[in-house]
Amino acid sequence: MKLHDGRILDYVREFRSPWSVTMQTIWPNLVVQRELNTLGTRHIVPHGPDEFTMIWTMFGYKGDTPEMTRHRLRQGNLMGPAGFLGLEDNEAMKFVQDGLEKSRAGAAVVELGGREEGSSRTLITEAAIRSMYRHWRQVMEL
Amino acid sequence: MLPGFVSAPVAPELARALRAEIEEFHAAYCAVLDAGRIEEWPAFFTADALYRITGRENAEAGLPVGLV
Repeated sequence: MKLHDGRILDYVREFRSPWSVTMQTIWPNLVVQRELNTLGTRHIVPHGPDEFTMIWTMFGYKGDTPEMTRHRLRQGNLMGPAGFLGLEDNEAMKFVQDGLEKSRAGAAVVELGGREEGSSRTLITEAAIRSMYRHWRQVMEL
Repeated sequence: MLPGFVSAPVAPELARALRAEIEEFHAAYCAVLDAGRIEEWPAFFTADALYRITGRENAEAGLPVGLV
């Protein structure tokens, strides 16, 4: 199975970086991201414990050529609520939300990768999540 | 109106003749989408057609993004 139009996955090297994707979370509710040539943010706005709005914002440069702008817009279909990549992220968030609701009154086990926190040498770890919750407890004075 | 679109008057007889054809086209288009036969959807467009998705917020702000 192959895409009829492969342009959505074209990658124009526009930055001096070995990476084609980078996602930076700014605590507590903002992700600043680059995925190939799409530049964007995901901003979570909570409406209480059971509901939030996710605001997607996509960017281009003022000096982009019309072709680059079209490319960014076309590739932007990777993102968004039903984006080729974004769709899966949204489903994952739904699973997390469901899990949180089930364990709200108690505690949850977050021990993937042991008990290390912060930076890790592997993706197969919840080290960053443990750090986030530690900081969250400090901020919430728990 | 989208740039490049030019509105022009149509003779009443021609409008009457085309109306049925256009309505049948719309009915077929909607039937295909309602049935979920998404593979047949592109056939309703010309090869050089541009299908541009936007949202009200961005359309009013003059911004081009249309995330689905």
